[in-house]
Amino acid sequence: MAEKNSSEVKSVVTNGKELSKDDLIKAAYPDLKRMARRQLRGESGQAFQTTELVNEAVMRWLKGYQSAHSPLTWMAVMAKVMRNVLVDEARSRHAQKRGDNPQKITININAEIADEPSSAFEILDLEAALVQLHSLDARKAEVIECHYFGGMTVKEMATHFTVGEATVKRDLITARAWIGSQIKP
Amino acid sequence: MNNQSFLILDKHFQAIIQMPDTFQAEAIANFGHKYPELLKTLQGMLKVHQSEKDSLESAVDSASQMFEEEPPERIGSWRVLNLLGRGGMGDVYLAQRDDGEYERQVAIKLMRLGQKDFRNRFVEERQVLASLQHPNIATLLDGGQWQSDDETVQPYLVMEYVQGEDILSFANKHDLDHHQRLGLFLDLCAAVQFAHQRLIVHRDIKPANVLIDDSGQVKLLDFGIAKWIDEDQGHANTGSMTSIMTPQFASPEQLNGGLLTTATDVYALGVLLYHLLSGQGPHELKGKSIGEIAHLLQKEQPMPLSQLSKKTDPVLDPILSACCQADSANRYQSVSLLAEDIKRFINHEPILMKPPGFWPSVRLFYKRHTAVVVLASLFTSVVSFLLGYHLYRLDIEKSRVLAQVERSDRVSQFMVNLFDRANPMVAQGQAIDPKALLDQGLQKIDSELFDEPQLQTQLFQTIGRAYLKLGKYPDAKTAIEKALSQLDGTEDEDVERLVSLHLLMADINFNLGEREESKKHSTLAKNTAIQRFGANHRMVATALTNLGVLACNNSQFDVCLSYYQQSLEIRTALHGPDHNRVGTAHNYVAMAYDHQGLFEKAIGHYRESLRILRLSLGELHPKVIDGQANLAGGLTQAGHTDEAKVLLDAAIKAARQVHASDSPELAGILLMKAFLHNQLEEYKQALPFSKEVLAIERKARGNSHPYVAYDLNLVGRGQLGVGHLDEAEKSFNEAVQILHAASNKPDYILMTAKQGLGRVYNAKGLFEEAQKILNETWETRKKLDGTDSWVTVWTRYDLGVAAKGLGDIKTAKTHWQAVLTHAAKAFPVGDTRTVKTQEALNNLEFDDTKK
Repeated sequence: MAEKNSSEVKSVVTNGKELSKDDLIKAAYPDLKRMARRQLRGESGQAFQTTELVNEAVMRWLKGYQSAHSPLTWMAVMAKVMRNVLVDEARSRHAQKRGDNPQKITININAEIADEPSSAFEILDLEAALVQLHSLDARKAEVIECHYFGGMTVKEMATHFTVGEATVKRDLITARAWIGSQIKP
Repeated sequence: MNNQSFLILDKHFQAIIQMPDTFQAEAIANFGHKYPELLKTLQGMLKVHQSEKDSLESAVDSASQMFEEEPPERIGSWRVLNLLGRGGMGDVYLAQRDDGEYERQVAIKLMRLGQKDFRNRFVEERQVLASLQHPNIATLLDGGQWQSDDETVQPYLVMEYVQGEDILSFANKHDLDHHQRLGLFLDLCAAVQFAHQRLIVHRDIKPANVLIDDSGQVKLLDFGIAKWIDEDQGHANTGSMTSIMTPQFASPEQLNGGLLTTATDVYALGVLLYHLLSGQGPHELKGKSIGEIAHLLQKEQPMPLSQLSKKTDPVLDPILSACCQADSANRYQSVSLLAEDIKRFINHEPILMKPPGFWPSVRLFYKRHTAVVVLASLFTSVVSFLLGYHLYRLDIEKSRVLAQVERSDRVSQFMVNLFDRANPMVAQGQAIDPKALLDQGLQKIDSELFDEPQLQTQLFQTIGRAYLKLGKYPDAKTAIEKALSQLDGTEDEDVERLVSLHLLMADINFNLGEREESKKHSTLAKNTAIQRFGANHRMVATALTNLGVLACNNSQFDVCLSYYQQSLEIRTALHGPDHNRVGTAHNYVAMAYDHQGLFEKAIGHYRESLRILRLSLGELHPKVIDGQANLAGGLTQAGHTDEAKVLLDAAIKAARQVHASDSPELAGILLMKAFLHNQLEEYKQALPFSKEVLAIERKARGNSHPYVAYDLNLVGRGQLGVGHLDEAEKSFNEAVQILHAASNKPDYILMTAKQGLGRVYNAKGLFEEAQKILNETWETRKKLDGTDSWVTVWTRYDLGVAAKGLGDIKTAKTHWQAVLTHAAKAFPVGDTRTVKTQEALNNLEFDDTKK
């Protein structure tokens, strides 16, 4: 990680160069995705540490740029990225298994690896439910995303969504229950 | 479902879950009437809500685990055969050479952590690790980086494949007895010692890393890997707790972010031996958090092995206990010493290890010879001199200070004013609180000088240094951070200031145990200085010295030496061979050689250092005195004791002039001299020094401090030696009193005092009293040190004297025979103790024949 030379930062700001949030995210997305995959590889079966990712992202992408975007925004972004990464991977494996894409079927030397435990695909059901929830109550869907994929706390989410903590808690309870009811019919 | 119905669902769901159970059924039924199409969903939601399991969380977890189960087909030039196991650091695969060249099977550890320059680091160290060819070490063959398809890169290590089980399971499975277990342990020690000699510390010795292969051979795995892991995670020396997988085997310094040395491995070996012999560790750690464990290891003494397992011989207790001491200075200083004591035990010979604290002189020698190296502090600022430990002698210091102050320098003025007697906080002749003064100074800077940022920065820097010298590291950090935040400008002087601030920060970080930060600042300072001023700049030299110190603390002595040498070269090029900074640099290089055991080379540099320092600083500078003492230390190590003595005398002479006559620093040097003379039985010479040390420490530590008791013993020994029996008796009695008051538990100092009394009584002819107290001592020593330890046996010499005095020739003979037998085995021919005892026996014969 390059050391941030303070004089560099100053000069950029005085040039009036500030990227909009969307620009930043757009530019950062491929990198973030790569970081997410690497992060997933790095942990041994435990829940991933999104905070570290956020820190890395902030350091990497805000180096030299003065940014008004809070770490919470970045966490929310990372949550989205994480979700995408996990869902993408699950989808491609699912396709492999089902034989949807014949070219993808490979014969593994270690045959036992070919079978993915079925629990890995639960996320696809979760995804479907989450998409639906988003159309019904966008904030609740985002709360779920931020919490489960981004590891954000109730307090952090309250700040991010500018609502009270009690509201966030209620969102979580309802959303969790609803998604749960959709996943297991 | 649409937004509205969801809203309704939400509202009612929230309401229902708040209700007590009895009302819920009704509410649900009502809901069902009103919104029949939503009922099923509501019921589903309630069911989910009531269940303990969070299915969302498990779904996400399962999904993330997908990323775990992709074994590679090939890694480097090896073909993966199957998964051998999963560890905390990575998965281990069995693999075979892919190009069909040879059938050899290897174990490949694919690390979970991704990082940047693993390869570079590995290449650097590869030679060293490859040189670890030892029958009991699983050889590291190769390493590299493995690229999976999606651009992630994982480092891997290729090791000799060891098929077997860990040492504990093996020992239990085959029902090995103690001797067999110790045999295995000795093999393990050989492996560790082999590596230590090549300056490689394992850092992660635990049963899982000690396998016994199919041929019964001990194989130690994973050498030095822990270090890379930690460097990868940004903790250069296993400072952080996150990298500790098995806290059971972690040493206190690992848990506390301290310095890791070969003694760390000794600790782990000790814990392993505990488990191997008793099935338990030296401390009860179950259910404790890492923070609690760290605390526990510092406070609690390790449990004696014989208490954990009744079947073990108590003679082993001190051996194990010595491995697991919290203070690494009290452990076996090398694995070979540990192994030797174990061998002695096996052969029923007396072991040499004494319980901790037995060697009092050690605290002095360790001051010089521990692996802890203090960071370069080449401050010449007024304030640092002022705020050294001379602080309380304000009168003397101030005049020295004033002589150095440039009146026109506003910074110095500010600081001097701070310490001026006009300042109501400073009272004449009394002890002052320098921190309070500095705090005051800081406030002043903030309030009075807010319009002079440059001056502010300079002052923050000066005060930061002052705090540093005082040991107030958090305050120092704040001050330097303030200074750094103010920094502006690109002039040479600004860059210079920036660099010196970074160096200061490195010093502070180091003292706070923030090694990685320290390294960062030093490296940044070095690079900035090189970039701006070229490679031959004094700040580059300082940064290099800092980095050397860090390397030394990582036991990378060769790297350390290299840094120090580079620094020396730069200093010499800048200032010429006679400059006092070159002198200091020589001292560092000497210390580096010292650590590597290259004493003659060390002496060469110590001499050069001393010569230069003398030239530029004069005989009475504390640095010169230190230099003399250092050289004396080096000479002693190399066996040139006569010259060492001369030097020590000179050092003392100078120390007297420089240090206050009641300063503990002076006492430290004098103590060395006293002890040395006592050992050589030159009591007349020893006595005056012992007395002086006693006087100083009484004042400094109070009359009831155990160190004072220790000093009394020294004095008593001297008095006894010159025949002042009453005085000796008094000294020893006082020591005994102090120790009894201090603690219920008898310790070695008390035993020495009691033995001293016994000797006094013998000398006075009071043989009955002598016998009584000596028997007490003997019995207690048997418990403390074991029956066969030298100090216990040596007590019998005096018992023999007492017995003879009482006319009990037989007992006297028995005692002296025992001593002689022991001494003859343990010491080389001609040792004074053997000779003395033999003489005593001969005299007995002589008396007998006379009758």
